[in-house]
Amino acid sequence: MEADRSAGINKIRAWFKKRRWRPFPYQEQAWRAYAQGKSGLISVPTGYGKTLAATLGAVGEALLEPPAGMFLLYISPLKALTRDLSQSLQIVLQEMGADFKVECRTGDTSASAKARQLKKTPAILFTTPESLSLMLSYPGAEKMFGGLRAVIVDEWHELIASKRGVQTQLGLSRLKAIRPELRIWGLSATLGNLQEAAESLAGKGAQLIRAHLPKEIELDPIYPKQLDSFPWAGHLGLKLLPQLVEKLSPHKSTLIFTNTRSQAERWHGALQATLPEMADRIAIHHSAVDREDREMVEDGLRSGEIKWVVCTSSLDLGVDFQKVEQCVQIGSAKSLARLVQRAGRSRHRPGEPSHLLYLPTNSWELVELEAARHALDEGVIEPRRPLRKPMDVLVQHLVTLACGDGFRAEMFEEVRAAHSYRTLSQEEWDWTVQFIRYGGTSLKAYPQYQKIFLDEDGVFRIRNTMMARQHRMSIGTITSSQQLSLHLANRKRIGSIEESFVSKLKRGDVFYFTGRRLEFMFLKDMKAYVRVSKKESVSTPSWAGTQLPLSESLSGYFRHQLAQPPTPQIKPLLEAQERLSHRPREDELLIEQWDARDGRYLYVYPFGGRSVHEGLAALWTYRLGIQVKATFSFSVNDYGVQIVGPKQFPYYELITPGFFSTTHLEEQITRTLNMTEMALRRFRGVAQTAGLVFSGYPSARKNGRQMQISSSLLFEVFRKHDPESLLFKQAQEEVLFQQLEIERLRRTLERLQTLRPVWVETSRPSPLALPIWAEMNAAHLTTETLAERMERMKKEWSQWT
Amino acid sequence: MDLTWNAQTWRLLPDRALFWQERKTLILSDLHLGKAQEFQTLGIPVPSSIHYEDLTRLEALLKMHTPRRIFILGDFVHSNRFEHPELASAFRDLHGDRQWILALGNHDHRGKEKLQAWGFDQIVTEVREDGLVFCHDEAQSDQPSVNGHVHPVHKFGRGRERLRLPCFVVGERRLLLPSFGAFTGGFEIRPRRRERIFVSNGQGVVEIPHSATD
Repeated sequence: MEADRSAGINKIRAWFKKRRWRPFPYQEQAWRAYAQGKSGLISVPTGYGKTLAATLGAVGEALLEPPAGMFLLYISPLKALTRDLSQSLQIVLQEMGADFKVECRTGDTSASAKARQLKKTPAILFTTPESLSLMLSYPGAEKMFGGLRAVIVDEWHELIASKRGVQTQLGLSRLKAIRPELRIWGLSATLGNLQEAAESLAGKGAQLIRAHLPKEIELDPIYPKQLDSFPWAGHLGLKLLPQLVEKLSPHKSTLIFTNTRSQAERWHGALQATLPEMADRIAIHHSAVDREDREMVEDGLRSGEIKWVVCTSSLDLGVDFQKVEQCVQIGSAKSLARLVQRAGRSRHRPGEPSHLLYLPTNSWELVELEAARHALDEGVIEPRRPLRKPMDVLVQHLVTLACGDGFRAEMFEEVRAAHSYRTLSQEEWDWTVQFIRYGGTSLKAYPQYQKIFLDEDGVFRIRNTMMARQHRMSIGTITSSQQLSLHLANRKRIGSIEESFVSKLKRGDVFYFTGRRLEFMFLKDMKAYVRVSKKESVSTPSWAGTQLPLSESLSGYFRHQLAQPPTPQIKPLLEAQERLSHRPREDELLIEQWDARDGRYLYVYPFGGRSVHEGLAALWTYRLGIQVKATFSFSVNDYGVQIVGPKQFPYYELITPGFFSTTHLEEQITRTLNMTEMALRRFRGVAQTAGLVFSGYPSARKNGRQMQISSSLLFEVFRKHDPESLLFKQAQEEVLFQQLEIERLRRTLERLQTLRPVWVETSRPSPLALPIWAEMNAAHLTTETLAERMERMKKEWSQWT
Repeated sequence: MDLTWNAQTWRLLPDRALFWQERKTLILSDLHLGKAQEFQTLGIPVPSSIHYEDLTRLEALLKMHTPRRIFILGDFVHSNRFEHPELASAFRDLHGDRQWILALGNHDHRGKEKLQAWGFDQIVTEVREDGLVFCHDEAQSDQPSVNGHVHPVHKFGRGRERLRLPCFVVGERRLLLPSFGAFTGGFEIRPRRRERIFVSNGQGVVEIPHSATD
């Protein structure tokens, strides 16, 4: 058998030879491992043929042992990728003389093609995690995947830390139960925890295959000419537009990465206005742009009609752009992995580093740049960890199986075989089954509820076809926030936009979208109607896009950089900080106090990243508030925390070593959470994934806002009546572990305890304080009761008028 | 919070109900009893016990204000699809020596006969008294009216202090009640010209000046 298997590899080698290529050693290694029946993970940079490394092992084998039905399943996080990859694999197969049918199955596949695939399964199928779930939600999955030999999961680094990754794990666990011999191979960019990444996908004993390749990335900064007048705060960066234009060439295809969609819109508009003759060749690409328009941009880039594309993370992965010659990063990329990934988008010769033009948007990002350079030189990269047993995804998965072939009590072991659920307890399993069977553990509480039932053969099945239909509609909604489609007055659809953004617009408001200036008209049936406007934009679009925190690795390098003798570029900034306040050394903790007209401001700088600071701000305001009752507001950025309290508030007296203590940390954070809306916001996603709210009722279509109301109502209901519900607890845990990163927060507090506090009273915000002060999204937290607050606000109203 | 409106005295209660002093009448609206069961049939586990809380609050109001009559201005039940014998019995226990009048809303309009089980003295479409109309939806009549139906809530405050609370809307021609039921949700209302907004924070009722509204 072993001899037969390497005969498959010989077929591949012959094809390489015909093409006058030589396989990389790591490719040979991957094919051999596959032939030996192993599973694993392949991690190499883009441009080194990892798709061939992953797929050809299975193809070579299938040439010798003709498969029955589907033998290879290829899962990709992006629909667009499945299309491109399947096409290029088809060409390879033709050249090899392999007569295998290759098809795609995603949300975009027509119903007729899907029906055909069920009847006659293609030999190789490209799909997404959601579509795999959907396939499992129809009876007959066992038959469809009965001949499967290998699954390949592309871009595992994109999926691993998300609920879609968990969904993938569960789907694979099902497939492995159908086909115990199944081989699973993942493809991933480099990560700080590759071994864990391999095991979370391919199970214990997964093999890790890495290529030893030279240095990957070189950062080329664009420095402001006038360092003195370069701003301390702000994220737009348009000040350096002329200098960027100098560096760009109208003949070189270029990706310009921004961190937010609003930033992308502004830069796209500014570039078009600066270079009107280039306007047709500059495009914009972000996740709110309509799919067809995005594909047009991608095609334009391939054909060379479009030269520059301003984009967000929407182009971080995906479509292999052989044509991209240059990449630009505007503002801090916040993590090293992202920098590497974005730099890797441009074409470079194997063996040479890829270049990334880095354009800072404020002075502090110059410091971040130095920190990033330093970290890259030392070869540091962040880990991405798989989620710990999210109950909502499990609820969804079990209902999915109940819609399909059904499941038995033994499913417990199959679920535990998925990495994220390896610690799932019998109690948690029982709760989950009870929950979808009776609505909860108290049977009397939900008399009309029943999603699944146990049939006489001991198999759990969905109650009726209406529920199955509802469930399938909700499978794709794991991550999406509520989107509205955006239409011109003539009903032409031009994209989608977050509901939270639209809800802030009033009739006549003007905003930028895909480079067009649009005037908001009205909202109807989940559609926002707009018209092209000549009016000046009155409101800058402020999409709620989540702001990624500065990674823990990069934060550490930032603190170090701050204390180093400054490079000429960051010298003016650090000197100003020194003059107006103090420049903290690595063993110091800087605390500033500033008396303003509206209250007393406290600034603390742990340099621990935005998410940790959010938790610290909540914790600290709580600790201040239990000593002296008051209402605080806070805002944070990646460097520090701003707390605003009443005038004369005695911060100095209250900030004792206990302020930085980790005792009762979780308890106190949880208690403050009850006072904020964080858990509620998380619960919205949990409820959606678990199928508790959805956008499509069969009878009356509920709109997004109504759906939100019911998820907040549900949250209240769970809080009062079923606080032990694992879904309710999950919302809190998501806040603790993912949003606030409590483990990282604990490490930060422990570090702060070892530092020497330096207390400074400033007469105006220091360079470090200013960016936090400028943050608009202040959260608030109070220890007053609602009635007390109302009373105080009432007194203040008289001052407003 | 006491208020004179159309020559009568009204007390706006923090428990999202209205007390008509001259006539000793307690007025409330939109309980949406049985909504939990509706959600359960859709596969959403909302516990039925949630409705008993509404009855507990109602009972407390009866004790505190000793009304002679109770007007319920519609949407008493969420639908007439299910019967709720236990809940209905608990509701009948509140009856006492008082007159209970239900004005029908859009949710309880169909299947009227099932409403008999709740023990109302009268089930009507509207009540007319002292030149006022009491009904579910804002009346088309030319007389001032007291209504439910819209579940008004009001969003107010600035910047870091924003709140969204159930409210009463008091205009010359209408007085809108917040929904009484706990599991009902709300609709952000834009007051008309010269209308006053009173929000309930659970402990008291506070008028929101126009300057505090955006």
